[in-house]
Amino acid sequence: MVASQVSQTSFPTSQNITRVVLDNGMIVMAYENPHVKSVNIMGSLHAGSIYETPDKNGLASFVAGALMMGTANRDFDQIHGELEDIGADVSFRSHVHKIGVSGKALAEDLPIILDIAADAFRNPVFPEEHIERLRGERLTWLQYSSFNTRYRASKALRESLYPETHPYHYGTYGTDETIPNLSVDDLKAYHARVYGPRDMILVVVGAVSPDKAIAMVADKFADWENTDQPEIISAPDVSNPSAEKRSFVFVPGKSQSDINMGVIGPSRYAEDYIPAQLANSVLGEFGMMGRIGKSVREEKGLAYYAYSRVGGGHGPDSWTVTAGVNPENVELAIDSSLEEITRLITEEVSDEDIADNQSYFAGRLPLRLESNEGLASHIHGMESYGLGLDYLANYKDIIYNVTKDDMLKATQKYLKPDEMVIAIAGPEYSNYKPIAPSQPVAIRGEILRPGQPLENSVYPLDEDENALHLGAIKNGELVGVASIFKEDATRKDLSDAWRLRGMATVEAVRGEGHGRELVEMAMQYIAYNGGGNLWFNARPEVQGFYEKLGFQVEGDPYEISDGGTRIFMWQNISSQED
Amino acid sequence: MSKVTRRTLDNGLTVILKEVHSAPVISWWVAYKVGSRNEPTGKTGVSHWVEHMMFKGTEQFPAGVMDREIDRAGGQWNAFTSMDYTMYYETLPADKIDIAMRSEADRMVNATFDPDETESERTVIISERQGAENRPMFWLQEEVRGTAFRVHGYHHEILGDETDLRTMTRDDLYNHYRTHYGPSNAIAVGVGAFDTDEMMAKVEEYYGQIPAQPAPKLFVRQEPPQQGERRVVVERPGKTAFYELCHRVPPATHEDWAKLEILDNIFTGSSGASDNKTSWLYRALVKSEIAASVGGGINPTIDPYLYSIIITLREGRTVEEAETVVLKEIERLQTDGITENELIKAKKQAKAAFAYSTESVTEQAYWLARSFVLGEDDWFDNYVERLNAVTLDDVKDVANRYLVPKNRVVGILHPTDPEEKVTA
Repeated sequence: MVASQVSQTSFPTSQNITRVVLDNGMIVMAYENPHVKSVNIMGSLHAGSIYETPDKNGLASFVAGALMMGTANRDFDQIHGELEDIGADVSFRSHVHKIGVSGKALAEDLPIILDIAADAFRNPVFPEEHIERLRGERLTWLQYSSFNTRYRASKALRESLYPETHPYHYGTYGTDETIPNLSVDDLKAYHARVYGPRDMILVVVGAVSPDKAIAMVADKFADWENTDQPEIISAPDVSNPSAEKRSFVFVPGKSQSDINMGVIGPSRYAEDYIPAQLANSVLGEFGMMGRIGKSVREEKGLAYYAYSRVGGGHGPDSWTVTAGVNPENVELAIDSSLEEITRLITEEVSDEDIADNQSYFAGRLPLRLESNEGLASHIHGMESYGLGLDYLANYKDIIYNVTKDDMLKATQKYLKPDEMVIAIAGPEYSNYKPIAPSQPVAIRGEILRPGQPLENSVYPLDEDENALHLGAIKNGELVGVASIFKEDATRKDLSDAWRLRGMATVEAVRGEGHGRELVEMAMQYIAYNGGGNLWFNARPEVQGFYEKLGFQVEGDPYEISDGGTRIFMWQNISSQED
Repeated sequence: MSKVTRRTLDNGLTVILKEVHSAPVISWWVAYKVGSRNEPTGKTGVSHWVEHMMFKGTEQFPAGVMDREIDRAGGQWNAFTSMDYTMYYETLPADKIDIAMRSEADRMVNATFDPDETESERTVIISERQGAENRPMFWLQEEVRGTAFRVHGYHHEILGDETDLRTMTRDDLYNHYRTHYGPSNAIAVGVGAFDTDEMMAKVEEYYGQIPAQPAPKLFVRQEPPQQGERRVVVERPGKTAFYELCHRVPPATHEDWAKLEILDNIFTGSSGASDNKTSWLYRALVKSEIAASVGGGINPTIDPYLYSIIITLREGRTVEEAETVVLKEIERLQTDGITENELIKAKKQAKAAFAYSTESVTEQAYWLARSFVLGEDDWFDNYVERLNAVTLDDVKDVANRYLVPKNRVVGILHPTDPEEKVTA
């Protein structure tokens, strides 16, 4: 059998990872991958944006981006010349909690990339001319991103989900207000205060013996000290908003709308992190993007991408659903996703679902551990999240110990549809759709019965099983409503009578055609449900509007109790069923 | 060096197997020699849409069954359509590879193209295109291609024109599939932890009975020579301007390709190994604060395509400034050429890039399939060797022959004031 010839998988474990803590507190790890010619480094340091203040938003990221602009030992050209001459790379990235470093080179060149990484970490000088240039590039990128719908939707989600007092409210990159004000002195001071070896992690993976790798790292980092290095800051807990919250960002000149909806999810440290990940896979990952992909993409054909994701980092990251759809389908995609979320929190997943996803999670490990990068990232993750070096060895058991009930409880704890933040970025849009019986009341009250208590705008048949309530949604907001009820006509004997009631659109969007769309949708509904006669009592001034839609007046205008005048209008709608 | 075995089955299917025992995984690829370059007007985007339909099921593997089965096995799967080819792959733990081999064999001939599924996929494809349209660069690139190629199929986007996506029928898709999906127009590649004889026996079992069919006559129209510089301007709402400078270059198998690849490594930066901060154009454009970034590349294609350089302008700087600088740098390349040290650098970068991109079985299999599509099985294996043979004079020579105005296509993306475009 083939398997006998396969080299044994040696997962990184406590037995084959070499882990050393230097005297200065830096954690160095090495793992040999003899099947390659290259070597990768991956590391992190607690110096992310959580250590900056909102008025200096972007500082941590700017510092990380500027480490390679010049050091006490090398200028810009020397740093990049040395790396590019050998086809190697070292780069830094900033996150909320940590700064990440990664690099790769042919194995023989490991000393060079370690030397440059150490130089950049320890001795950056932030040369004025390069800092100004970098500032301009960062502002250009920011401006470009402001026309990117995915970026705008995720930014809007972040800003709505987390209050201004929470570090996750802010992007790591900075804004067009803060970036121009970050001075070279700010960069220098931040580096001097926050960067240091304590709790820093550096992993080396590739065609190098672990002992040699550790010695090389120690040679470059062991004498680094920073007595000012701050204690590790964690992100405070945070709750969802108390009700569904929507935001719409108009981005001109776009064909597609991007939707980003989410709630606060588990951190990587949460006990239910793995159950949440498994449940999320059922929801929007497994196969062709899980249940959301099946509904939104495969069945309804609404989107090329529609998936869900659990952030799960060092703090209360979000659990999100992302989709890109035609503006016409924004509300349908949101509602379809909410339906799947509701199903996930209401019913346990099937035996097949849990078996599929456990198998998927456990089975994909060999592939993820095939490359240096994959190995380095998993080893780094075990250390960074305190999972223990045998985490991968025990991973299968961890996955298979999760029950359907664990998954259900995790989804119920986090995925609250009523507290979901929904952000939409793209063209302006108007969608028309059925809404819940309670939804029309506020607009009815505001437009049709101003100044009266809201209960006067609740109709007796609102909750009737035959009632249909329709809403016009413009750019994420309900702007118009109409309802139809199975109700006998008052002024004419009509069979299969339906009454149209509570037609109202908010002042700001009058004349945009929302009312017509709602009435036509109601008529279509009746047509597809066997046909019938649609009637209503209308104010005389809207007679022309309804006549254009095919309605006719019956009898004379009449007075109603509050002194107003009404006319009776109706229309026969033939069945469209065939 | 790992063992590579190549065989052609009786039905015409080319099979390449490469044993690599570094990890207990196998990557299985099936590639068809058809892509957007073979699409006539009215059917643009058909190759890509057909690729989507291949996930809509066969009788044996109804829609969703295959991708779920591969996920269940801890595998990775995907497919992509390019100008020159359509490829499908699965990488799986070695003992699970049969799922991939069986299902790829099955969908080579048995995809159903259910009419309802075709319709629901139409909107998914249009959505994919609309998502791409959200990026200003998509519009620029579409226009640049259309300007560079009047006759050849490289003139349209792989995603196709929306008008064709709205009008193509299920039968159009099915005909494309029946014509181009068959053993004689395909290659199967396996790389990973297997025994070659056992693996070949399985290939025979799964693929051997697929009936032979004549190799399709691919739709290709050669582009006539360009008669002078061409320019195209695109306006999109935004704040960022882009400048794209293209020159017509020969196909991947042409002797000048490697020379141009070296030229590009020095001029705009290496592809896949390092950053490009010591490249000529980074120094001339980014360090001088005209551009926020610059990049370039030569796509290894079957037919002559474009060497493209893309410049992102900084706010307040103009495309005219960028153009002046880049043309001056080209002139310098033509007069002075690159230095010995730069040539050494480019070769070392190629060596590193090659090493990085052969570390996973998935990438190795991809490059074997890609080389076959290009018409030279060892195209990728010889990549480093061909680059090593390039001399300083070669680089200067190709700079003088290819980077000339009559070979040039310029694309400019002007951002327009978004406020003017707001409509209620």
